[in-house]
Amino acid sequence: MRNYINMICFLLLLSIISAIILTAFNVQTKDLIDLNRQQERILHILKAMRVMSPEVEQALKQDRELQNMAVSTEIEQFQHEAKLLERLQHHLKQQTPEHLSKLFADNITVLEINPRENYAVVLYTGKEFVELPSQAIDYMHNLYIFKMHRPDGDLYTFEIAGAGFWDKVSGYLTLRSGLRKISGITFFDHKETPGLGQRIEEGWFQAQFTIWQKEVLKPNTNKIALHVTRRNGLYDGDSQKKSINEVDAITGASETSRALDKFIPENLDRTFRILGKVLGNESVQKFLDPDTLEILKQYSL
Amino acid sequence: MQILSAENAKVFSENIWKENPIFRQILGICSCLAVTNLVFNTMIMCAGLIFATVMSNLLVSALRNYIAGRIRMIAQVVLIAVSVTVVDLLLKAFLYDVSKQLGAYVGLIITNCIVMGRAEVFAMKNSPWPSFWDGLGAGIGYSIVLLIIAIPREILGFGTLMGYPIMSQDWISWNIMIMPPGAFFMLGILIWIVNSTGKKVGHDEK
Amino acid sequence: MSEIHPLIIFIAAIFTNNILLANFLGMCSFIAISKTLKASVGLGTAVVFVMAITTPVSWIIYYELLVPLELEYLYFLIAIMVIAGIVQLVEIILERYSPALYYTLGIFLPLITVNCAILGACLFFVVRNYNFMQTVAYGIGSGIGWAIAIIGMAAIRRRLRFAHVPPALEGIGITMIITGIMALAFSGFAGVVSIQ
Repeated sequence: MRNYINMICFLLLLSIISAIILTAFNVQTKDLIDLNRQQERILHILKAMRVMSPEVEQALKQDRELQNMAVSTEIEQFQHEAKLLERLQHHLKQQTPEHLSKLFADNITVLEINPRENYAVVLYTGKEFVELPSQAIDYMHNLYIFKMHRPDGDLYTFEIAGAGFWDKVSGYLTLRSGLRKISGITFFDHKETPGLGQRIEEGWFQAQFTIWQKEVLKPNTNKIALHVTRRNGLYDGDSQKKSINEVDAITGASETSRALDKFIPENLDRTFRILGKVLGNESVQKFLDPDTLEILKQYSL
Repeated sequence: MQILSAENAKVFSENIWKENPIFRQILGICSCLAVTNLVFNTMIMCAGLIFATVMSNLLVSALRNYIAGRIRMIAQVVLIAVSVTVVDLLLKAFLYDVSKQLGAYVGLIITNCIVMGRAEVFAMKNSPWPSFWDGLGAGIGYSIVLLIIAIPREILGFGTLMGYPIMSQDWISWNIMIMPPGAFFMLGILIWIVNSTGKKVGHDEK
Repeated sequence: MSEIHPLIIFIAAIFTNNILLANFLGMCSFIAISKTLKASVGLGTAVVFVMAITTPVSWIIYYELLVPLELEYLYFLIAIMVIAGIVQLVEIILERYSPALYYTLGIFLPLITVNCAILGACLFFVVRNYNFMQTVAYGIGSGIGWAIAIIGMAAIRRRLRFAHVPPALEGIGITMIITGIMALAFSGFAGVVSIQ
């Protein structure tokens, strides 16, 4: 009996010490980790919306891998787009965090909606947003929508996240004004199988969404549906002949593909419904352009 | 005391071939499968594993006189989990990009049977310095096997090696080699080859 | 919280999303113990028991204790301790009531503590946002799925004794290849039912 008590005491002691060590490290590193995460998100938002500074544009123009690519046939154009996405991410990564923050501050406005506080709405300029301490930006509970104003139509970036095959997959999806056509997509956090599900990070997978202007709505309807289906074509990403709201899955990564198929529409549906609830808000009306406001009215019913 | 006494050298080198963790003890298979479809990822995982095995062996060995018999498994797991989590947190804070590479493998490393196996079999009964060499040897032995499996898998599955295309443009990749069953087949074939050379795999399970 | 019916999750966890053949968790003991049918049945039952209890208990601890107190980072540690505690309990019961099985299982009984499958199940329900009933269904289903896989493998290996296997491939080698074939077969189920 005494042995048992000794053992249990030892275990208790071990667990308490372990918990203390973990807590200590967690507290010490939390700020740094949050900052790193924040910078990563900013980079990916810029990538999804294709925001480029003169330095980045210059780097892309001089990029050796991109320069030598032919763009005459459809396949070549697709491969060029895939390479462009990868190189854009690479060159954005080469810039300093301050450079990226400034790029963000100059081009993007942010709408924050807090469902837990009766859908309180806050509108930030890019500058205000990057200056918020990282703890104040609560991606877990608040909804953030990022907008870039462009003369030929605004772009809106939404967060998309859901359970993948192993762990949570997080990314951004950029839609054009009217919330139908996809302008950009990127994934910044996932733990999918390397070589399989991890290929959602690759250029070819993301290029399918952008080069053929895929849509998030079922054709001829207003129902949100984005399908990730089995490959039919000759090469990875040959989804031009598929339906406008359908893209190629990753061969061998059916679960990851199915997860995307499920959670991207779910995320958009949830976000549009919440937006529908706050359409009357003055900040929201300043944020969204008239076409988009019109489309969102159906969600406020 | 020279840096590597004869006994420690023996402990180290035995773990690489004669007592190789995969062949001899059939440990650490789970992680073997998902990771080995790309050589680069395999190297990252192996680096993490060597580090974790060495650190866990050192910790368990240092505390071995305080851990009672029955609860040794729990104590080992807790020590391993805490040390790997701490390293993960430090990486996320200071070397964020490296942590992104390792992110998927942290869980695989903590529950890797090799880490537990070495802690149980060696570190609990030996002092820290030999345990260090044991852990290093086991980690390296494991890495070698993983790399031997990863190379054909990447070449046949993707047509590349470390990202560089090796096969011609018309090569149609063997998707089976990218998926986990491919790892099983490769491991089975490897064991076949090893057994044919005379060394018995999985012989004498303690 | 996801809205899939617990019964669907239960059936999917056994067949289409089998935690051993689709997620490849829990391989170590699978390969070693499937040599004997009796031991496999014993280990399989033990795993079902452990999983069925650990997943709901972890759910309660996670959602009722850690989340309100914002201590999610301790979850991994606590999950391991819960699993270890329950495995210890199973060990004591087995040693008392079935010593033969206890000795056959040997080191693999305490190794259930680090069985990736149980830890994996505890982590999956967090990511997939299951409610309590779904977690219970998932835990029991995963356990049964794992048990069926290991018993299936043991049955196949038994048959293999009468097959003509090349000498160098006997034992572990052929087991690996068969596992590969089983996994391939089960990957055909991928996506049939979506439980996340």
